[in-house]
Amino acid sequence: MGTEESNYSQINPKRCKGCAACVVACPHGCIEIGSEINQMGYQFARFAVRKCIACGMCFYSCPEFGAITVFKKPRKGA
Amino acid sequence: MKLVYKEVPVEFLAALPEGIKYVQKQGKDFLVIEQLYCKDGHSLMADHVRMHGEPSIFLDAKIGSLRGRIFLDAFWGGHDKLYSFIPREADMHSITEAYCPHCGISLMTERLCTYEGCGCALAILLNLPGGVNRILVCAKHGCPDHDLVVQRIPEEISRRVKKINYFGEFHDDMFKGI
Repeated sequence: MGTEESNYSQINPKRCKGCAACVVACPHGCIEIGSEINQMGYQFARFAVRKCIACGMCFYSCPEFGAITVFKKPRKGA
Repeated sequence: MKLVYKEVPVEFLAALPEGIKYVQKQGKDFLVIEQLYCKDGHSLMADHVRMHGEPSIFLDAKIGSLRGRIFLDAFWGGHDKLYSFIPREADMHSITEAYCPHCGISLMTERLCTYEGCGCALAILLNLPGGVNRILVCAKHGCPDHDLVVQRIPEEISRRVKKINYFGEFHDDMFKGI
C-alpha cells in the first residue's frame, strides 16, 4: 500500500471488476489482482508494490468510472 | 505528461469552436464537449449517462473479439470512462475499434500516435458541429493521446490544448462535488 510520501494508485474495490487492464498497463508491475472478492463477485485489483511513478497508465486503461485514482508525491518545496 | 493543472489558453477561449463549452468549476477553467457527431451526422452525446454532471460521449466499440458500448468523459482531458463490457486481459494491447451507436458507421481513421511508446497508426475520429473541426483519439487501449483539430486556431495553441490532461490526486480534488 502506498503512503503519503510515495506515489501510488488507489483502487476502489467496490468499483473494480478485476479485468486486469491496470495490471497489464502498469510499466512497473505495481498492481496485482488480489484474492479477495468484492460485493459484485469480482476479484479486484490492488496496489501492491511501491515503485509507482504516477504515470497514470492504470487510470487511462481502466474501463470503470472512478475505480482508480493516482496520487503523486508532492515535489519538495512545493 | 505532467500531473499539473493546465490552464486553458486565453486565445483558445476567445475563438471557442462550436460544440465545446467553457465552464468554471471551483475557480478553475474547463473545456467540456457538448456536441459531437459521427461522419453521418448522428449525435454521440449521451444525456442519460453523466460524468461529473455533464452528458458523456458514447460509442459502440470492439476490443479484440468483444463488442459493447463505451461512455467517455466530456471534460477535455478528463479521461474517465465506463465500459458496458469487461475487456479481456489478452486484448489489453488491442486497438479499440469505434462505431457510431446509431448507424454503425466506423469512426476509425489513419493517424500516427506520437505519444511516447505508443505509435498506433489508427485513431477515432469525432466531428464537432459543421464537420470541419474534429477530435482525434488514439485507438490504442489505454493511450491518453488526443488531438483537437480546430480551424482558425494557431498550431501552438492547439498543442497547448492537447496537453490538458487531468488525473491523480489533483483530478480527484478538481472534480470533488461536481
